[in-house]
Amino acid sequence: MLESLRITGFRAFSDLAVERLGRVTLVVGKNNVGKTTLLEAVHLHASGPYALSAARRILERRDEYLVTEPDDADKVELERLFHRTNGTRSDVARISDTAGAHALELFTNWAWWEGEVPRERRQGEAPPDGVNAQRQLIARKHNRSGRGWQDVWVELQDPGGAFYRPKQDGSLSSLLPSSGLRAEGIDIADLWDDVVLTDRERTVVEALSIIEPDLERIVMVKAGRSHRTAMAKVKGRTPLPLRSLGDGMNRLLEVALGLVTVGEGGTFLVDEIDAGLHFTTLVDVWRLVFETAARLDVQVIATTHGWDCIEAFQQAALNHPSNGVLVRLQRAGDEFGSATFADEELAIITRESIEVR
Amino acid sequence: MSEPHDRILLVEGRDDAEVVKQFCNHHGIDNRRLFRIEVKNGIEALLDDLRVRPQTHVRVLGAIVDADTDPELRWRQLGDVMRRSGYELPQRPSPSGTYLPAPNVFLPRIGLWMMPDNRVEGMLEDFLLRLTHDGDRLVTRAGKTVDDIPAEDRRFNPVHRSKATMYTWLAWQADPGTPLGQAITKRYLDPSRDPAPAFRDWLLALFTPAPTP
Repeated sequence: MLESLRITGFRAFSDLAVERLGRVTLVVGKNNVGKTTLLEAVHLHASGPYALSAARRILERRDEYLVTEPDDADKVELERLFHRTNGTRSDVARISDTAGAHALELFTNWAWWEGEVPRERRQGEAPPDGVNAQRQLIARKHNRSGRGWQDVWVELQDPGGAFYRPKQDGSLSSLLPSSGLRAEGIDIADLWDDVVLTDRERTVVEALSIIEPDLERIVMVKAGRSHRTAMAKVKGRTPLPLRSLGDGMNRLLEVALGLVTVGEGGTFLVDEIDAGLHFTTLVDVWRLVFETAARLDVQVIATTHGWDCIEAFQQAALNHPSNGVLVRLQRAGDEFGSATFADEELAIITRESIEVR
Repeated sequence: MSEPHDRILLVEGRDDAEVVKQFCNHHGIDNRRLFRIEVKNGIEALLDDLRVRPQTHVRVLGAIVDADTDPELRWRQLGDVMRRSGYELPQRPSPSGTYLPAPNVFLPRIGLWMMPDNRVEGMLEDFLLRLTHDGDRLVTRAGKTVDDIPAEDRRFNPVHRSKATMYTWLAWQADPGTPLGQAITKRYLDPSRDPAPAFRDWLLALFTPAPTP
């Protein structure tokens, strides 16, 4: 579990430190203070060997992956991962805890072959004339032992300009964007297959009961379409599409499924967790997130800009033994900062009705 | 125009809030435009609030606290909670009210006023007793009446002597039972007497927005 966070040279962040992260962390702040970027950074960090495909998804998600000039393909995409100050981009994007431990570094270089010998040059220096150099994006992560660097993960560009895409299965990190999983090309039914007939299925049904207390079962059925959809069995009623039970149902299903499928020791990131959820459900949603995160050993980081969601989080955090941390992001020009509230201070905020936005 | 959400004045109780409002009214200060008053439930709640409030969106933060029986202790308590956010208090409060500049771009400017006058022990009621008119014989009499109560009959904590005196005095005005704040409106008190002008200047200097360059 990442106990604190420092991000340097990554996207909008020149240097951002967050003194404390909890088992469950809620990140708040106005628009454009970098809430989503923080989630992306932690997602990369927690993705481990899958950091590069996670990086690619980040660019795709923000439509920054699209390029018009084939020759510029590498530049346009990769550059966007790195912070720029006055037109100069940082050499390295670095994500670690505030002590600098457990660091993940991203950087680019040029690689080419001289006969049988592989050669490379760091970003900023052009490759020699006449060689067929390729741009590489490299992610490397500090050893658990803290001695030196382990695993260098290289993602080469093939001549056609498309990245080689390693399998996503096995990553211990998952990011649920505000737009939902379908926009990510993830089929909810596939996730459901992972949990069906396990204890985790019960957790998901329990989550959905927050909105529909009489819910008995969920089944994924193929109803003449290309993909399966969720059907709900509610006590005393014939089966009906889950979607028809309200806007919040799909969101809640995705939040719960994401939480129970990320895996033990994993990290679950949710952008705008309350998107589509009615404010009266939020305390119960948070309570479930706290309980499930603790039980399955998952670290959860979510964002919101809703005051109801913050209040509900505080309430759930104060009533649960595992630590909840509220992080407020702020911005002044190009400078980003953070304030963290936990334990007694979280209690003060709630007791004194102090608005933290 | 609605009250600003990023310029906040914390006070210990409703009386403090009411006095500040009437005081501003008397001096023609548009308090609702300049700052929002938040009433805390006593000094402990106010100190708790001060511990975390600078870390929020607030841009200017003022606090009015009572010195009570030990001004030095109160000042140390304030120093302890402000240090959490990176503020260092001076050795002792400035007689004209204390200002703390923002340590960085994300933190607010802060102003502290310790009742009655940033020097001596006391509370809001001591501040108000000093605003009574020259030669008001009822002030002396109220004080004497309170002091003449035999110890065994006294139901109030000695700390609250000035409070007992103030309310005794208020009971003897043209409109007995006038609330503290309205004593200013009804001109029982004279808000041009010391230390009121210093208090007015502190409020204005703290909350008047700097002219945009």
